[in-house]
Amino acid sequence: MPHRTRVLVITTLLMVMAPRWALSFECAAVAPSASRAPAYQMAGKQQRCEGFFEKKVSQPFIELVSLTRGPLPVATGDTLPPLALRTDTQAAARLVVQPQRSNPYYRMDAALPAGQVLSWDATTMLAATGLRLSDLGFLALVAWPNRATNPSPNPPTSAPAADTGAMALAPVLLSPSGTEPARALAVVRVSVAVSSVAWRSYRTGPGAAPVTAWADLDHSRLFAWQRLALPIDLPADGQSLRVDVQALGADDGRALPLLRFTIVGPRDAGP
Amino acid sequence: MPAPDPVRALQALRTELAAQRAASLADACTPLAALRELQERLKLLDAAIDEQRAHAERALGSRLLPLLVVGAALLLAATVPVGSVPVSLSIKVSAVSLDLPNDTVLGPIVVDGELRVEGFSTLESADALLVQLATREHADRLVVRAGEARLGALRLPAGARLTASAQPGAINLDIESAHSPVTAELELRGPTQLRLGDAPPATLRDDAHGEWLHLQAGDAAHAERAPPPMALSLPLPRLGAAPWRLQGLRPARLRFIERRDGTAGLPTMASSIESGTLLLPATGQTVALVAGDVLEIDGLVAERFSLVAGAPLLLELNGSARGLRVRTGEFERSLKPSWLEYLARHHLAQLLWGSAAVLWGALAWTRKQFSGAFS
Repeated sequence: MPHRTRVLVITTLLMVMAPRWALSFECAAVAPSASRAPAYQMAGKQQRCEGFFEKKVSQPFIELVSLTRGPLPVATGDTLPPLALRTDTQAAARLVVQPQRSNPYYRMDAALPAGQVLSWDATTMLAATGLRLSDLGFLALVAWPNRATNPSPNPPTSAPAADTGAMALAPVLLSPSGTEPARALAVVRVSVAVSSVAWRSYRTGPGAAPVTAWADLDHSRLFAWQRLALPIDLPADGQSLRVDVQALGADDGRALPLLRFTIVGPRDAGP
Repeated sequence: MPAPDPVRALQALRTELAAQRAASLADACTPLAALRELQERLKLLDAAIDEQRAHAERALGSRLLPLLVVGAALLLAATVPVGSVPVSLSIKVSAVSLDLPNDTVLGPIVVDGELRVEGFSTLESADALLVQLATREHADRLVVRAGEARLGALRLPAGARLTASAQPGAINLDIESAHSPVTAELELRGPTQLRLGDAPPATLRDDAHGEWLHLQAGDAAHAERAPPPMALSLPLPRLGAAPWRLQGLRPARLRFIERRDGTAGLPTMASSIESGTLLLPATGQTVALVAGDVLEIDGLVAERFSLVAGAPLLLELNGSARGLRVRTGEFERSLKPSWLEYLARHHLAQLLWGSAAVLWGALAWTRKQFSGAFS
């Protein structure tokens, strides 16, 4: 092969492959919907994926559908301004927006770099699904910066406990700035009817206080796909907090797989 | 009418000329010049015959060439196996060993009975007392019997080898990995008796809500170091209860062998196959596997894979494999079909062959028509 042709071929190859190297963000491993539009796919040239997808449910589970801090912005008139989504952690996160209800299977995934605000227009999702803004759940899955041993370059892509074990999340802040309360709101959802839900929060590591006892929640007899909000007081020192949520199946009284997650604090350098 | 053979015509001419020369030589009145001329003519004729022969040989060669090419292609197709063969397998085995090239998460599995885990290096739990106990005892094994127990997840790093074997009343899972960590995540609830190493039995702090335990072999901070081999013993489901199954496994290599105690205490490796059926959709071939057969599957890309717990284990898979060998006694054979077998079984191939033959015939006919018109 002549020298010039070889250079041309290599340059072309590099040009074709370069966007792949630059783009480390990947859509979630879900099957895009075949029947509903817009189907889940990469949205434009941004690091964002959005749309309807297909879902199969096999085992009973309890899952986290939203973890936020602070109130939702209020719509002014008929138009809804784009949401300014951010976290207050030092780590990059993967933002997942999905309905708090079990239906429809629609989700938005986006990269949320540390210290940045993601402006997201919710009108596409709200128009496609017919939901209200208050029906949406927001999760920011954190990729620990010092977790070099984790072989997966992306943080977990879905929330069920059975898939991901203990996941790390940062509460999503929904308004541009202000004094957010030191309390996060977690919304959990069960796939089967449960007779009760209990939860506990605790710190780990040296010098951590003993694990608090389980707290059984009042009125936590839920039907399938019903959701429940847990207000969680965050530590004042900005360190991480671990949360376990347990639900007992209404049919057999056996515990569903435990939902475990870590709330990453603003002054948390990693696990 | 076939064209007269030019070589034969020339030869006839030569015979005639040679006879003429012989007659002239016998006749003393023939002038020398005439004899020389005859001699010269014969030489020219010989040269022409040689040339014609060479031409005819060349024509034969060029006619044989396509035949040779087709022959060579067929031979190649008949001997070279296809790269990858679709396979469907349903097999009952007493043990199976799986090489898992990707990160794998098994579970959740509901454990009804006594669960044993051996080979972990650290225990993590929200219950600090259990963590302290494990650290103090340097415990690397755990035996637990709980009201409700669940193996929430068994996390294996890429490149791990998982061996499942059916034991009386239990299924053993042995994990060997070159990378750390291997993690077993347990959830316990209800009246629980838990033995860590040689420590006296411990109980849970809160039976009603239970506790989680993570047993980790190897150090997550040093993924390059091989962890100690981890072994889990999971009780078989009770009679009438739904058997648990391992799904979501994507093994690349399967071996059906087990260790057996041989003579003089030396363990021997033997086939773990009890019975099974292997279906090769590419050729429509069905292979019945019987006890003692050796089956080796390599380069597997499984689309569906399930391993149902029981004695024996039931393994079902669909996918394609790059290597597929069966050995019965001393007789070993590859079940990968050759390209020829593969093509012969495909209707698409028949269609292509048929079309090619018709096209070739049509072309030959057209060429003949035109060559007749223009020559």
